[in-house]
Amino acid sequence: MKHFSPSVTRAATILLALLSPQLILAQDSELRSYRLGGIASWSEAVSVGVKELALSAPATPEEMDALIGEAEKIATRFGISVYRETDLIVTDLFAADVAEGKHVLLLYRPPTLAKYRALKQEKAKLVESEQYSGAAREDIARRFGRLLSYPEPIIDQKLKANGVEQSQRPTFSGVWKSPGIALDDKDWLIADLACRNGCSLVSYEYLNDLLADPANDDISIVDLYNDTQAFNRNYVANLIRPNVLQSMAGYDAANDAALDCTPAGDGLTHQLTAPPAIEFEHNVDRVTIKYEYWNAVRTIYLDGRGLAPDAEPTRLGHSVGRFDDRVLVVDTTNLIPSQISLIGNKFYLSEDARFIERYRMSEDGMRLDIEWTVIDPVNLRGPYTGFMAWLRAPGWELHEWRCEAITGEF
Amino acid sequence: MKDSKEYLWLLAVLLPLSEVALTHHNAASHYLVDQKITVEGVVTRFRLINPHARIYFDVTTEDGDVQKWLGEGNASSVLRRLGWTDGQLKPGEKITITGSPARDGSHKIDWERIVLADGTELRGGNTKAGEREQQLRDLDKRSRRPNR
Repeated sequence: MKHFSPSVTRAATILLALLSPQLILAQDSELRSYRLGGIASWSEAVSVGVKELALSAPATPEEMDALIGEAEKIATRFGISVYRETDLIVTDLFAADVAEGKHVLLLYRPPTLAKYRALKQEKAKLVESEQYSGAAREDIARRFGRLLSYPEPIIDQKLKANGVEQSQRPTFSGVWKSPGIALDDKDWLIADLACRNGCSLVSYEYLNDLLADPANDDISIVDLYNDTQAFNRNYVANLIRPNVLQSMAGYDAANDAALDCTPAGDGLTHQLTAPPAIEFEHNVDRVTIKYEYWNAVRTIYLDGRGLAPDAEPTRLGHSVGRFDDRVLVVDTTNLIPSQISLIGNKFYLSEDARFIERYRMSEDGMRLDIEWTVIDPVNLRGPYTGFMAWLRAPGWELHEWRCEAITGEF
Repeated sequence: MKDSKEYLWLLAVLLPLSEVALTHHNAASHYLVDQKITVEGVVTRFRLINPHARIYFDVTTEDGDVQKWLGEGNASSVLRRLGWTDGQLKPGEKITITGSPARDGSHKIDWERIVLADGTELRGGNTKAGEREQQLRDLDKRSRRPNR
């Protein structure tokens, strides 16, 4: 190593001292440009819908003072909103001190800010009630990750990196779309589209098997579907007890409950298969399923309580659930008898009807397969299992179900 | 590979094949779904609402009489997700509407297809048939083999 004389070193030190304000200024300017560049990139990602919410790099309050004006201009240019967050939500998605004492810009399109604030408030309530732990804590982090539009495996990685012992429970939190309202989505299988209003599980599997067999490549999809339909008709015919169909003799379509905008008479089967979007919320002791259809809300109790045989029957019944490995299994009883139609065979389920639902999410968290089994010995020789697929709908919100009765006046 | 027209046809008939269909929103309860009629009229009101979107329109008969008609479509909760808006059809707009007639003989139609004066065709909320056709072709290519 080359050694300089003390005089040279002294001279260099003086020179550096003279230049340092300029160097610091240059460094500040570079850092500011870097941060604004990041804000512009994330703003574009938000504006085109790649991300629902993006975060700027954390900055000290003074640094943020210098950034905010230009950041707002950038956000305006991209048609998005910006919010200066002085107290970023702390979850297990990031290190706890990632934004400690610093400000962060939230880049978003309305109404994402309200969702962020609601999540933050929910976390605060959990902390206050000393319930911010385990699955509830993990769920807060996962939902924050989804707001940031992170794929599920990335959320898994980040949680793991932060030492979170992940629960075996998958969380379906968020909004999901059915084939009927998202026909264009390329992630559907042909059988999903064929089954877009729900179909029997066996017919779904039958069609999938036909489509998977190279020997059928020269057979049209229509023919394969007709084959499936014949199979399914036979399956259902063998399942329904012969005397059941007579029970529908008195049915008058004019009394269709939907005409007067009341959900009465519209049962759980239709609630499960109606195409409007659905949303899940996970808590430690329950899963809440919200449906656009009828603005319905179901609570699935996970706290170990049993069925409630004495409970008043309701349209959607009383539901308890448990996780079987990664599958949410829901048991529902106490249902007001409602009408069901299997391949055009209409009948009312008995008051003893029981539903077992199975919610199975794909490994990447983007697909949810829902199976429901109807057990009704009065009407069916054996259990009937239906199927319908759903895809995660990042950025979606449930719309209010607004209904207007058809009065007959033109 | 399947022809896209075949696929469109398939989708058109899939709904009745899906087996869980209830009296709610069941067109067959109110309409003769095996029959098709075509009516020309002028929109007086459009309501994008549940349980079914509604088009109120006037039909002028050969005798010059004006009949009040009602067209029923899909639920607004479905159509809005497929891009329909409250202003999809405006009063005064001429339409040619094809669908199933009412069982009770009233002036109602369960619409399947609406053609606007400029030739634009509306179906169940899909206003861009060409794009849909291409998307379905892509879907067919990718999805015939389930990868799960």
